[in-house]
Amino acid sequence: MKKILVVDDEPDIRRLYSSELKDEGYNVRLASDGEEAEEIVNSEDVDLVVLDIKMQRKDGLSTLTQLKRIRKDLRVVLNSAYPTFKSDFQSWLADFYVVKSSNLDELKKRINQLLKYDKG
Amino acid sequence: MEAFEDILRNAPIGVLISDQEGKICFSNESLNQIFARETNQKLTGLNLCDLEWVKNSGLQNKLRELTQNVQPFPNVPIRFENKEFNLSFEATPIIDDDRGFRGIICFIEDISERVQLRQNLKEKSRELSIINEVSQALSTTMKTDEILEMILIGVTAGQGLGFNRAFLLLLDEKGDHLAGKMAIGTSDPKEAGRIWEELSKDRSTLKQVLQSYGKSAKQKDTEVRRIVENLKISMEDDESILVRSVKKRCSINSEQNLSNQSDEYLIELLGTKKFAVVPLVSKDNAIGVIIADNFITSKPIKDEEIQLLQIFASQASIAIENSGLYNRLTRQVKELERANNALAQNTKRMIMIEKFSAIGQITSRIAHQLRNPMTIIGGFAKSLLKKAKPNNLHHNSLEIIAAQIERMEKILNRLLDFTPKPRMEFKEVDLNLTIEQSLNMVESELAQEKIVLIKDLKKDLDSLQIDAEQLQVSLVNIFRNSIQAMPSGGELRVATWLEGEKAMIEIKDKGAGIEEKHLKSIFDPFYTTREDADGLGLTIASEIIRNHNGQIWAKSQKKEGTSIYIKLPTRRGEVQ
Repeated sequence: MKKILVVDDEPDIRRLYSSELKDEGYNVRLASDGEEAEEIVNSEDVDLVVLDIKMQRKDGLSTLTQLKRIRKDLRVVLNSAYPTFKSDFQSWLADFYVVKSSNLDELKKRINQLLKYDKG
Repeated sequence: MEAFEDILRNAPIGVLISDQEGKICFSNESLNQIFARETNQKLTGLNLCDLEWVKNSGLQNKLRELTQNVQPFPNVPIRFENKEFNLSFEATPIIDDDRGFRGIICFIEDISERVQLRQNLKEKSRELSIINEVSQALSTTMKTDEILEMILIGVTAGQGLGFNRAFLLLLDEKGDHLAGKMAIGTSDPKEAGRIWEELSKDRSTLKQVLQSYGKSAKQKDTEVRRIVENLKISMEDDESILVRSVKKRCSINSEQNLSNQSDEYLIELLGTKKFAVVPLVSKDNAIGVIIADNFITSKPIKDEEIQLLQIFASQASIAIENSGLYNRLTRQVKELERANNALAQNTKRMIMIEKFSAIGQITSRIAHQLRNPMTIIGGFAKSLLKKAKPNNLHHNSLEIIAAQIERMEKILNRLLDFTPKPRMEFKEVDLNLTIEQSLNMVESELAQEKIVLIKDLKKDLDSLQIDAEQLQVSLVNIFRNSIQAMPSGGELRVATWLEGEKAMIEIKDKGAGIEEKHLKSIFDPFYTTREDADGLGLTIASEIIRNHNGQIWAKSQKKEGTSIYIKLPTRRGEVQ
């Protein structure tokens, strides 16, 4: 079972994503900030990270850079309420950029796409 | 009677009395002085009509006819013992009541000086009027070429100084050579007569000649133009009459002032040894010389004419200087205008960006704050909806919640359209200009690292569709990389050219170079050899180039430096 790490400082978002992604058949890990995420990626075998950008503590983009430093092949989907970070060059390190929406179809589609590709 | 004679003897004007036969019976001291005769030499006894100066001035017959009326001859030019002078001559018949005509009394005055003065005055006023006309004409133009032409016309026109030919030589920029620039006049006597006749026809003033010259005479000046084109004198040739005139800032009449060796070439070209040279001096700096001659008429050149020529030359110098100032001023005004326009445009853009970014900041803050709760509410509503059976009481309510949340999200998305778009915006942009602007952004870094910038930007690049801002980011990243490769100074070369249907950019540093095996990795994220760098600069740069459908690659040689090449499609390439 593929393991997805959801990084978001909003507990209800974590709860929602956790429930939805579990329904999709993934193993879900949760982190409330960048540092926690780095620890998990360092110690566990994570296949994909869903990463929020604006967070109370360490922000998503520098976390992204850090995570890629730890594991160059790590799949990352940025998930932000802001579409504007797409123009930030650091965001290009991510595989996809999905703007937050109550409709999770897009997010799920991108995750499936990345993990299916990895399987193949 | 004796007292009367005394008065005549001592009169300040010459007095001469003859009898009815014309025999001189009295002459006074003043008369002797006019003719510089010695006091003791007597005219008495001689016949008035036999006097040499009376004979050759034609007064003879007039005096013979004189019987009744006073005859004044206000200005009689005479020649006496090879001397020329002017006399005022007044002859009065002496008539006796009883015996009638008894003789003639003449009052004679030497007015040579007065005539000369009058002549000078006339000459001076002519000069003044020429200068006045030329300077008036000069004030109508600020173009250096026109000014120079007018000066030369003034020198040669009959209404002006009336020289046959005039040549203008100017110092080149380095001050090494005097080179022929312009010439007027003709070397063919028939032509000369015809041209000036044509020009003077119905045109009495120099001004009119100045105005009409261009039309009628220009094409006839081929010979003088050939001469002037071949005139080039080194300023190191101190013997040359032209160099002497420029260096000493003085006019020179060529007669007895030529150097056998140095001026040989000049004499041969001009075809005469008689000419005048005057320097053109502007603000203490010599700028050239005018040569004027009378090639056709061979009329000797008088010092007065050279003086007048000098006045012309100073007029020319002032006009040239004014025109220089005017041109510089015009150029500066234009530059200022350009800068002003650029500033106005930038300000407008800045205001736009400010405005939009202010709206963007507020809306995206709201969006962030609202999106999360909406994602949560809507997300859970949909999650529940999936699990609820369609006939469940709450199914409909959940559907409404999910739909309304989606509606709110749509409203937010529309609002967010105001925020700066992350999409690329391709516009037709001058690639070289984008490069210049990017170079401006690293100007201080170049200066700080003592790096010499060499630009070789070809003008004929085809039109390109570029997101200028993004490309700037790309270029600045590459420039910074190159600058950092040269910590102890060096040379940054930026070149553009067209290669087939692609525009090429080369950015070349003279740093330590990169080993072949590392060359492929330099565009990879986090690849860096430096502690302080994040290794993303070239990654970003290459990502932008790829978004432009372009290619980027590097070539390097150890110790020689590294070149980054960028290939961008041009408009022409796209169409095909």
